[in-house]
Amino acid sequence: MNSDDIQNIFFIECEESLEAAEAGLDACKAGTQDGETINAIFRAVHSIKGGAGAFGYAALQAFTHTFETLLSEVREGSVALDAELVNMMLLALDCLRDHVDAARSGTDAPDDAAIMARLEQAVETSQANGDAGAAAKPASGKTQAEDLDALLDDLLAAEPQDEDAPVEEAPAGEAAATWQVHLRPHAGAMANGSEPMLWLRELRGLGGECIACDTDSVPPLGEFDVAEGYLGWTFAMPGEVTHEHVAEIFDFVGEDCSIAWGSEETIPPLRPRPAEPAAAEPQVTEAAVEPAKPGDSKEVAKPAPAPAPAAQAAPTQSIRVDLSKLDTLIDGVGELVIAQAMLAQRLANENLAHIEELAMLEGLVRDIQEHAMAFRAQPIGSVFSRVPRLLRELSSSTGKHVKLQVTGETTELDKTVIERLSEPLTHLIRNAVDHGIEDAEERQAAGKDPEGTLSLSAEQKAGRIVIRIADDGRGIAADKVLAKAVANGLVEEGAQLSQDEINNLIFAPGFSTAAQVSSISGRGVGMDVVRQNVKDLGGRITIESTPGAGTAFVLALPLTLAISDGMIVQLGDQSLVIPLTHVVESLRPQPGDLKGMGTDRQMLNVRGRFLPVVPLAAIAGRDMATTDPCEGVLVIVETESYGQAALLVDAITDQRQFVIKTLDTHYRAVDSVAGATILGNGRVALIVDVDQLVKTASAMDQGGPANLLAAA
Amino acid sequence: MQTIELPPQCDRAAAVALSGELAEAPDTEPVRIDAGKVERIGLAMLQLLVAAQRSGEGIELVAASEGFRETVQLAGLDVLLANGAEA
Repeated sequence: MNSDDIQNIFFIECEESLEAAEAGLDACKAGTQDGETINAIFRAVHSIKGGAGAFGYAALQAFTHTFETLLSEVREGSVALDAELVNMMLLALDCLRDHVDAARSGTDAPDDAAIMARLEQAVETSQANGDAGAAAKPASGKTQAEDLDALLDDLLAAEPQDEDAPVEEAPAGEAAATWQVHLRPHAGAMANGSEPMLWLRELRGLGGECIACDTDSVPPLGEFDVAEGYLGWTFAMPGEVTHEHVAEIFDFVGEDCSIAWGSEETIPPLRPRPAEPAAAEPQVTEAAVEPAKPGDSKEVAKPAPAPAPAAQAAPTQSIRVDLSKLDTLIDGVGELVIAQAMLAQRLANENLAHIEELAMLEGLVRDIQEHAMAFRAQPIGSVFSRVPRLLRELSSSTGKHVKLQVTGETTELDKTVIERLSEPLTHLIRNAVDHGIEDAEERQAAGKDPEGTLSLSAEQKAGRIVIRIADDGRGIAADKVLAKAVANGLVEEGAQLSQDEINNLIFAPGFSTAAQVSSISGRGVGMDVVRQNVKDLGGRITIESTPGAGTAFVLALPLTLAISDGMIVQLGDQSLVIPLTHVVESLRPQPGDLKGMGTDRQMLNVRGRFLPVVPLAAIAGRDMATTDPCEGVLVIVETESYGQAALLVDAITDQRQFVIKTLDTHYRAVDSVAGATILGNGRVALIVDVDQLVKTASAMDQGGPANLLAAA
Repeated sequence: MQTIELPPQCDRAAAVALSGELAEAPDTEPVRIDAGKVERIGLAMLQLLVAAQRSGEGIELVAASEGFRETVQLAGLDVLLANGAEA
């Protein structure tokens, strides 16, 4: 593991911390302002600060420091947490995220002067207020380090004491004077790209001063080993700096540096003999854990690494795995599924289809596949959690305040889907706020809450993930859209379009009805891209709009991109795959169940309900297949937006897992075909896009100018 | 007389490189070290310089940048700034 790897882990942890902080602040905003929530935010910011210091990201560290200072004031109760402050902290969190991004990409740190000033001001205001009796607070002109020192004194002193605020752990007899810390980095301290000199800098940043450097252990060049640590130091720390404050510097260090506290100690020896690490370690542990004894919630947020495993024995353990390794595994599982199907086919030819071993193998393959897929599943909350920030930014640029309602954020779907979802989702939300939700005045005039509401929901439905992005805005103005479409030449003048078809016009390339192009949306690049993105994921997007009451975009996405269950059906000499998620039932109708409609349409009576019969052969262009439903088999399928339909096929031959290979990459996208797969006999079978198929079939039957549009 | 110029970033890799050069340097005279371009210097390099100082005829610092001086003082290694062999 090199330093880049460790930095990557740091950035991954930063993401997690940022999410935790955001969740905490959202809870605060929603009214949950207990100590644990504030502590969680503090911990998150604090751990970013620790890493930033360790890796030398000065700007990030400085910002987190200021932020943390304010948070600890809030935790102390000396700053009242009101809505304004929460909003400000959310803005600070956005800025922090920019800082992290800048540090990660190596670009310049964002301009944080304004928000820093606000954070500092909030702290100062609190210090100006109601400070009586407390230890002397730093004046505003002091440096940050001093600010924090004083702050920590306040935090840690069990009770406010006299001006010098002696620290409870200060060595006896040295109340207001300096105390000593001794450290000796070992070989490991330099091994992973960390730099012990940075710790010295931090010690000095706290007001510490090097009073001794032990160079006695440095050997002559002949015996010198670059990887070894030879130097040791004694630093004198000011009395008001606490042990645990110093111990924080070494949070990330672990056993790579021996530390001893107090003037009676000396610099730890060069290579601790086996017994000694045990002796040295508890000292670190003790220093970090001891302040917890007072039993108050003012404790430093992050325990030192040593006690962490015991104290925070997490119920579930996790490891980080390189994604490419996981993908290799999943690819392998895909091939395994195909191989298993081929084996089954071969055995069937030998009349061995029902041997026990084959059933066992099938069960195992399925288990492995499910587990492998579960590795890639992530809760959609990781996408939803970015929305609040987006809304804040939109709120500041449009002046529209929008409430967010989120449901189903624990719904899990494939990592790739999640990653590729964030762009279309962002676009839809921008659109909803910019076009959908009206100005406060307009809303009031319409008798609505001046604050708009955006609801995001995710749920698993019929083997798909359905994501709904709904606003309570003005809805889609059908007449405007139609007029615009006519003006753009998308639709012929005088064409009669259904509401649905009109709504779908907004997905046409280059379409925008925004009266004025704003910086957020309205340039007409977008909705078509959104639809393309969703289609690329094997999903569909539909619009539900009620004028005056709002618009909802509904995204239906596949659970996984790789493997699925399907029904293999026969049409003439061709095999097709119908994804099992759509299949409701299959039956061979009696002549009396069928009713003719028009010239060549038939409806199937299923227990009193009439469903259109869609001959798969007509769509797929196989004229050898049967056209008489009584001769073939009807597969009743459920679709997203067109209800149920009965697909007419010759026969059902099998039901099994199939590995989806997209046609786009190997050939080109074909309507009504979701992809292809390789059957057990080695032949390629097309996978039917049931929704598209039924939609196309019903559009053909109805006729009208919107055919092409519907099929597009 | 040979002069070894330290790079701006004196990290561990630079220390590995320097240790090779120092090993080859003749030990009949002080090794001249030019630290005039140093921006950052890490522990590995610092202790290597200390080691070099107490080997052979020691080192002779011909230039020292602000960054070098600052770090050396931070680490309490002022002994490195004193030219010539160790006391």
